[in-house]
Amino acid sequence: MSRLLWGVAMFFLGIMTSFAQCCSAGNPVGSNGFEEGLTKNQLRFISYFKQSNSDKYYHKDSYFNQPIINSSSFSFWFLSSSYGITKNLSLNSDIGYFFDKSQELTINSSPLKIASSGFGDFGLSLRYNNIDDENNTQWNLFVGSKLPVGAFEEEIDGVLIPLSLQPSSGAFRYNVGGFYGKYFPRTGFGLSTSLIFESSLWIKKEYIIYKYGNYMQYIVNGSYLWRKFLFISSLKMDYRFKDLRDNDLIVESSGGFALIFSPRIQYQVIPNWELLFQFEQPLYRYVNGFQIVNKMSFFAGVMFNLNLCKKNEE
Amino acid sequence: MVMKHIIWGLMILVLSALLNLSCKKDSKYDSNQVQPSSLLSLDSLVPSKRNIHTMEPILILAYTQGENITYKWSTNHGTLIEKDSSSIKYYACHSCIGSNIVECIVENEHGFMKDTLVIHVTYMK
Repeated sequence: MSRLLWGVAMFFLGIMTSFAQCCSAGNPVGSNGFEEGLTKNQLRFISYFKQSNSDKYYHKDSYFNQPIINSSSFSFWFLSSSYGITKNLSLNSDIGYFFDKSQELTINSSPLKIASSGFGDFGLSLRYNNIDDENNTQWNLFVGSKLPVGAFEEEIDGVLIPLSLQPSSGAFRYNVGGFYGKYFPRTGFGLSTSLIFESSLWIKKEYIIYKYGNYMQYIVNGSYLWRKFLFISSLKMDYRFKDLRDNDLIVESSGGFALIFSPRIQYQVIPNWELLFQFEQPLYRYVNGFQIVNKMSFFAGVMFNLNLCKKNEE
Repeated sequence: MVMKHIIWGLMILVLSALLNLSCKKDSKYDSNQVQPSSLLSLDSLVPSKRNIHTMEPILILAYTQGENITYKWSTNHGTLIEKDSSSIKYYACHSCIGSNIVECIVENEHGFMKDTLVIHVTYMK
């Protein structure tokens, strides 16, 4: 029973949007939001649709008026599968597809839109899990990579669209992280925390020589389990270092800090199936230089869990 | 047990397909440009300004000879917006400070030619 509760209560989320996500190439960075480990033969699929919008341009921590960019947005579909290889090891893979990744502009009083669509990056990670049922605690460590398999040369009528609007990041990225959580079965409450670090390799493609800045994310979560509902509140701290371009030139208008509040609800519809809904609202942000920033985002989706071992025994 | 093998097989299949997708082919525009002639030539790329500030749009014109020409435009930093085939608007946001390359490729049934120019971008005053 305690494991079942763990299986639900430890669905702690990470943020899927960085402070400048509306103007970043590739999949949303950071955790995919599901940090708990899986036990042997446990299988999980997660699929959701995410919408993110922005119409604010920032200089440091204040609004900044600029004449061209009106708004940015993306509509994103995500699919991940995870499998418990052994008692302590689980493997995760994920991929996303941008239905629409676009920017609306006004140039010389003429409105126009630049948009792209296509597959983003492919993620693969291995997680070492340690689940203590007696004390209702869990910790895990993971290493992973994101492969730029998706579209990175999208164009409109023979014109290459900007790097920031390409569905794929175009760069190999590596990430490591850890998670710790404790659940209190008598009250239904849970607490957890996680830390993620991500680094990118250089993009070297024709004239494009670019390296995304390193990225860190720290998350504190509180959860409450009530009947078939799981309520989760998260406070997320994103920090991104500055990007580099050709000749090791520092891109001054890149990177920054964001503090984001993110509530989530999960509802178990039928055994093995859950509905997910999450919302994200930035509380504070500081950007280096001038950047367009994420205003709000949400996702809605489903999660499917299956223990293959139990299925076979039946 | 059978289910387990099926899942492993599917995972390997998906991974192989994705890795195959990531092996991009070389561009057909990497070599073998044609010599300029009246059938096809890209005489020059002319920007309205070469030194600009962030968020300052400019116009770039491609002067060409030949018939049935198609144009491909690209840049390493900044945004290109097509005005018509032989001209294009360019602007750079604040993350595109520096010396940025704009490339134009023209192509028709006789082959292709390409040329580049550099736009220097500084902060908006």
